[in-house]
Amino acid sequence: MIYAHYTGEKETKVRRNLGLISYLLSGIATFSILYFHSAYPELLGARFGLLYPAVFLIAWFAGVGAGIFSLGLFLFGFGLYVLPADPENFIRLMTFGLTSAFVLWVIQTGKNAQARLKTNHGLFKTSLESIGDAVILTDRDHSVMFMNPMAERLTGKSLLDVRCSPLLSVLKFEGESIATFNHALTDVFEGKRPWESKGHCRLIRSDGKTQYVEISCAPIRIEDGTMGLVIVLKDVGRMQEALTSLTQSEERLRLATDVSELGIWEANLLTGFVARNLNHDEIFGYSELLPHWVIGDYEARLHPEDKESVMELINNATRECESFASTFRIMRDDHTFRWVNATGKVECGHDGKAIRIIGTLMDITEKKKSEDMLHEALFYRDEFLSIASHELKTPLTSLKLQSQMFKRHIEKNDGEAFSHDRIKRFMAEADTQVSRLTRLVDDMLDISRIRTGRLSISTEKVEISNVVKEVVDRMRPHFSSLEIGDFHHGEVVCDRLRIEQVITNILNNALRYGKGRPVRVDLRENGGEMVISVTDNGMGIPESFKDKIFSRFQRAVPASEVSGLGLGLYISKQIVEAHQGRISVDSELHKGSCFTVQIPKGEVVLQ
Amino acid sequence: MKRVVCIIDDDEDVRDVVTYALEDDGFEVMPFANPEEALTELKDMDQLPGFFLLDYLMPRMDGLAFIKKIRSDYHDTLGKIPMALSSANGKINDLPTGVMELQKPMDLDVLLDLVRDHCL
Repeated sequence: MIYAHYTGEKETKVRRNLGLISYLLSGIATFSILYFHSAYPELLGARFGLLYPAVFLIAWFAGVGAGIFSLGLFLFGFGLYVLPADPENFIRLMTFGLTSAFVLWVIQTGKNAQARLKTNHGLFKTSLESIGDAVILTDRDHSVMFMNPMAERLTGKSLLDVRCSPLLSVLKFEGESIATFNHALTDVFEGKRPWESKGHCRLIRSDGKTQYVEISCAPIRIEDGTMGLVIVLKDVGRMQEALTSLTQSEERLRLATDVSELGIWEANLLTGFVARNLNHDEIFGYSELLPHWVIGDYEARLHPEDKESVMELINNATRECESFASTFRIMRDDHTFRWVNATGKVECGHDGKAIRIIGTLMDITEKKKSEDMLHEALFYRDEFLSIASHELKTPLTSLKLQSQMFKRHIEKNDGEAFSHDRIKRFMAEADTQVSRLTRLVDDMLDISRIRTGRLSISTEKVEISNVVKEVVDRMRPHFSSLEIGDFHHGEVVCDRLRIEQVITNILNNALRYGKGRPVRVDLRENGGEMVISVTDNGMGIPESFKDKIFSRFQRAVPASEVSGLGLGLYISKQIVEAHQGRISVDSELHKGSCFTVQIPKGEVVLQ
Repeated sequence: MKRVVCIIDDDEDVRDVVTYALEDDGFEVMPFANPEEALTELKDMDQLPGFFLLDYLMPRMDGLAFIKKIRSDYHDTLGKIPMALSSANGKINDLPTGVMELQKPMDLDVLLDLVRDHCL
């Protein structure tokens, strides 16, 4: 092949050189003849004129252009040979020769052009037939002149059938594509500038199926010199399908990540840059995507306590080309922490070196919080069970020992043991223990009722001062000093027993935590409310516990320090709130506490 | 001479009834409401009790803490006295060696047998 190519090139070179030589020879010959002819007309006349055919033949074979020129010279020389030597004849003949040469040159050029056109036409046709795009040529009336096989396949029509048919009967579009295409045709034709469809048009094939195409259209000058159009249709059906499917997948992925609030990241270990989605940056507390993020940004945003373990995990995974998953805390710019669940997959190159890590990030702070709350609730439940068990067993111990001793005495027939005083003491003791047990069980039942919304309140009109006085009088013996300060009167619609329970609970607390110091009870009328307050001078409540003491199973001191279930204030709060009232505490550590209960006067709408 | 039992329990009712039961059985009883009070009284006493009956759960210093304290600070005197811990919360997991266990509510016979057998 290389050799053939080489010889071909050499041949062309030789022909070109021969052409030049023939020009040169013809020129030299012509001028010599002209010179000798004018100098010695009788001498040269006939014989030298014969040189022309020889020169002509050489030139003809050497090159067409030179041949034609030589032919002109030949005619000129032949004229000189046959006509008398005369300056007038000389000019005439020169004009004739040059004109002939020119005419012949024009004819030859035309012939050459035609040959070239023929070759080009062949090339053009072959190109059009083998090209992957559909090409349609129309004349100035928009009638189809030519369609390549691809166009036939795309439209489902054959060139033979549609030749000279209007373009718009061959190319049919769907929906908006029709108007766009019509408009484009006019535009191209009148504005004489090419046009390209911006998006994809839906072409209707002859079998009724639609096909996505991309159209370009340009004006073209056709054989008869008028303007036609060349229309190129690119089949983008598969591309469109792939694109649609890709868009759908992307959309689905985006929806999934949006709905799950899943952060996605991809760290390029070679450049250090990390590509993320918006969720990722939102987890770190940013409302929009940061312009850039590098791997080092993670380390700076890890909780100090988790930093070491997380970095070790990731470094190991990177070294071993493994996946990893971990739960840890990240730090936002405002120094708040979020719990996250992170997973990552390390991808390595052929050399086993890590190239990038792709992973997810999920904010699980809320989940973690509820887990913690659950654990806390379980802890308090267990502690409550332990306290409840202790509180119930203590009076039981007392009761059991007493009754067993009683039984023993009966068995021994010990008359002394059954003196009136002893029996009275035993019965009083038993009664106390039974009351203790009843109170504990009632408290537990109340909790269960509150939890299930069955805390019953039966209201009546009650003079609240009577209730306060009764409770204080009943409890006074247990206190070193229990006094009533302000004592207003006022009627309240309430559940008398429940309000008694509240006051008793608060006084019991004052007894437990009051360090045996004086306690004062005040009853005031304030606006439309009756306000009961109990002030002690005991241990007080730490600030951090003030909110907690009204919760279930909460107390300000460890369970081992005082007895009781730790339910009193919780039950009291529920009762007071059911009366649309409020319970609150004002306290100073080591100085004492003041509990205040506000109950609205008049008719209340019970909750 | 009567054998002496020292009871430390924060619950007055329990303290009273156990005292009554033991006295009825011929023991002399020294009841205390908390370990601190007991320590103050006992440390300078010539005649030491022959048995300790301690409540497991008490405010400030519980039964276990009391045992630890006397075994380290008074290991030749109070620390040598036999003792029992009474618990209302089931089995005691961290019961020190040599200490007996009583479950509340306790049986009168079990209580008396224990004290009779072990009181010095």
